[in-house]
Amino acid sequence: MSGKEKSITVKIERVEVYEKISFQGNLVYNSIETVGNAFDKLDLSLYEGFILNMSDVNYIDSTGFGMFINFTKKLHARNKKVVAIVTDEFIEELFDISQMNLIIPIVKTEEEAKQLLKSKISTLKTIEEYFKR
Amino acid sequence: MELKIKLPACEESIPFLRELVMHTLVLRNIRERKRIVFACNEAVMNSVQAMIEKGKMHKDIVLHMKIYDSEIELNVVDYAGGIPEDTQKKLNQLTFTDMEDSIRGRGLLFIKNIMDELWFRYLENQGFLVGMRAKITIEGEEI
Repeated sequence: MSGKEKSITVKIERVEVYEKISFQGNLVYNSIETVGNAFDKLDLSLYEGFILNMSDVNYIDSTGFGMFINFTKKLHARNKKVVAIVTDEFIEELFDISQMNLIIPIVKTEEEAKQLLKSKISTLKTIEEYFKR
Repeated sequence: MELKIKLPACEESIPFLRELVMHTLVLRNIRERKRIVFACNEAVMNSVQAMIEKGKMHKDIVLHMKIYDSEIELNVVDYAGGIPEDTQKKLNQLTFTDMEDSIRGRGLLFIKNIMDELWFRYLENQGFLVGMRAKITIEGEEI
């Protein structure tokens, strides 16, 4: 039988006043620790908004979405904006199915992400509204 | 076409089965392959994780895939005791926005939304079956 799940690589870089977090590989159950550690290292107060760059994600499972929900909750609690760059049509469909596109808007490019973060409103719902609280 | 495979309840089985199902669906030119692979992977992941949590790594999980002309059926069987009946019933009413912000627990909701049918069955051999079915189209054969 073939080996283990391919690991995820997380790269963090500053883009103007935003922090871009790029993922490369499979965003799955066994990447919880790697992604969680990367999120924990971020000083959320330093940046106006966050860009989750998923353009190099080959595969995402439900735990990958769970990690994003968790991170988005932390960001919304600090009034920080978040946008995801998604180029894969199926991953975009999964955001739509889970209605996560209501709390994490989806764009195709970094330029679109910056424009959306600059705009006054970037999400359709807050995390509290999303969870019907 | 039918494919039945038994694999140990370990994490390595998750990517293996995902790739196996994807390659099979690519070979059969099934347009909905990404959706089906995603749903199947969620069921396999749930089974493997449940078996590990119950300390039953010595037992196998079983994937049974049946591909018909316009439909696919997938059954995943494990021996971790199953999903409580109230959780099964609740699933029909649950939506993603009812979920807490936990990292795990959305797999069945994704399957319910992706596939046309999802069902559960306790087997006589102590196994628990998660079954799912979806209509398929073959690339190049659309009307």
